[in-house]
Amino acid sequence: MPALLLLVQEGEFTPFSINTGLIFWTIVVFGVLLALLWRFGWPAILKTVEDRERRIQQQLEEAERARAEAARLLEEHKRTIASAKAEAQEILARAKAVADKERETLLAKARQEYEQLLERARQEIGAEKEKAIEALRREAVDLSIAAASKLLEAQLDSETNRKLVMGYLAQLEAGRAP
Amino acid sequence: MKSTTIARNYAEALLLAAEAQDGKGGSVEQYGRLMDAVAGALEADERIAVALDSPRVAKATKAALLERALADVTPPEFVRFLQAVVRRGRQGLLGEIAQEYQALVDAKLDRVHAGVVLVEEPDARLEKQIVERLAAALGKDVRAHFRAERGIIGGVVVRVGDRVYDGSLKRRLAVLRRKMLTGE
Repeated sequence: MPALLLLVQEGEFTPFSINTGLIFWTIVVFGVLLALLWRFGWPAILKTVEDRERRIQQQLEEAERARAEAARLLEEHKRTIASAKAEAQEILARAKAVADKERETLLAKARQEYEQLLERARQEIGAEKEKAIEALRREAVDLSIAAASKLLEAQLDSETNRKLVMGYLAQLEAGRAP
Repeated sequence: MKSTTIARNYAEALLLAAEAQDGKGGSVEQYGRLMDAVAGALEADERIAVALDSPRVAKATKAALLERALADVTPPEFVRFLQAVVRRGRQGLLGEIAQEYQALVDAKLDRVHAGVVLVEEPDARLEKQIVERLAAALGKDVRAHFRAERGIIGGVVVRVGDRVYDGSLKRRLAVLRRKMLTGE
């Protein structure tokens, strides 16, 4: 550099001037530098690049494995979900069937109880009706008999009673009396 | 031995005595009436029963009392019978003896007692007609005991022993009521 500065100061150096010595030394320096780089820098750079490439490759492979794993897990998850969904559907269907059956059973039982209640109510109403009719009939008969009894007591004179007595004793004699 | 059996034995002895006296039945019935009178007197007047039952009164005294009280109105055989009863201490059975005696007399005379219930007391004509009809119906001599009861409404109810012949209007109305209720 001091030489370059010296040339510039001397006014002989321009960017387009050819200086063989400078070219030579530049090539020498370049060659030395290249040799040094080739000997010491390049393997290190290459090793670094290769390491990096290997790491990247490794990371890529890991990423691929992870992706495959993720895909497998996703697939498995999907299958699990599908299976769970099917199972849930089946459980739901079964529950619905059970519920339907239970509902039918309850309905049938309720219907049967209703019929029984209805029948019992009909029977009770019928019995009550019969009882009421019987009581009414008994009342009417008792009233009729009581009226007939009173009438007989009032109307029966001694002569009629005598005939009645004699008539019964005649039946007794004939063996027809109750 | 049961008192009924004892009473029946005494009654049979009394009946034999009555039959032996005249054998026509008249005394038989007379003895029956006398036995009923004696039993009725014992029942009506407690003093007689007490006197006859009392152990303080000697049996000879009891016999003398009976003879003095009954000698004028009853046959001597009847008085002796009563004395025999008292002597054996069976004076408490005089009522039962009277009943058994009546039963024996009824059997002997082929006679039945009939309880006749009418709505009102019958007159003599009706009584006679009823007795005749009953005798014809039962084929036996009938001794009727009449009683009035308004409850039968009309007709007649006759009880002979355990049998009841019910010809009352009350029964007819009951039959009518049953028929009306059952629709027979």
